[in-house]
Amino acid sequence: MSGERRGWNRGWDVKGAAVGLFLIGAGLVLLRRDDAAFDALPALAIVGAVACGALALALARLDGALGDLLSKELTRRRARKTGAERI
Amino acid sequence: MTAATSSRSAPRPVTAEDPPPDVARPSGWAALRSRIPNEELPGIATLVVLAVLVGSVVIGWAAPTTALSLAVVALGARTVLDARSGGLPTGAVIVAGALVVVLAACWWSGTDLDQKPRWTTERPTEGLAAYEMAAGSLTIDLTESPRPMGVTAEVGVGRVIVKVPDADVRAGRVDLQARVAGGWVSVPIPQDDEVRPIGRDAGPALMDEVATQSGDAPTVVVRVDVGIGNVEVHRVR
Repeated sequence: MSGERRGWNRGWDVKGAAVGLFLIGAGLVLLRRDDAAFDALPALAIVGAVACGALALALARLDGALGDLLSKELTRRRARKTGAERI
Repeated sequence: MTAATSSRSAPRPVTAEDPPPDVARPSGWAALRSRIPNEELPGIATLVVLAVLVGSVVIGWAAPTTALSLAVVALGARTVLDARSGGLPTGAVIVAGALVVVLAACWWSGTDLDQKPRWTTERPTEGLAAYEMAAGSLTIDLTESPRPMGVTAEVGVGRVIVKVPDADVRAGRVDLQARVAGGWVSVPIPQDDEVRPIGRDAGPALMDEVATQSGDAPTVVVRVDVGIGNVEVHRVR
């Protein structure tokens, strides 16, 4: 997923994002110490890992799309402003 | 092009006597901010968060388990932030993973990390006694306890010392079973002791379990369960 793009969206490391999201989720589960989560801890870890991978992919794509949108808008405004100054 | 025009257009070489060029220098917070490279900001922010968590535990605002869980969340957030620019903070991931394993193991085994370690000596005066401790050192002195006596002790992390009269051991009146999940059980035997009716002198072992050789009618029954640590049986003469 890493790319040569620069600026707003320099390219996500989806694996790293998935690991980070998994750690955040694990920290929250350990913080709450819910009895229901305790009973299903191994299953929760597996499902959580898969969900974090999917979430990281979605997050990377969403961030990329938003970054592109914002870059285009900023470029358009800059161009409009430069054009007005020239006139 | 003449020599005069070329010397006029060429820039004068800079010498040591020349004053430094005027450069707009930021002041105050902006100056401090400009000195910190952008790449180091997530690392510095993570260290600040971890320091605050450690401080809150030291002061007593947060329990150790809560602070460690929040540290995992902070390290996870830092990993996500780094992943946005294509990086992976390996050290932070390893530390957070180790914390997750430790916290999950404590949760799974029922070990309460929020309890402070204790160092205590107990001399039971009634026929039955039970002790439970998360961490620390527990000494159970049975030399002057009434008979029959039954004692159970559960310690998460630490050391348990059981003092039993040597005469009772020799007579086979002591029934002691000790189990250590990670550590060892030590039953010292005097060098000049020809009779060895109690256990063995165990060396270090990951999973250790020692039971004494008691007679048919033991009057002192001891059951010790330690998660990580060691059990020592002292024969008092």
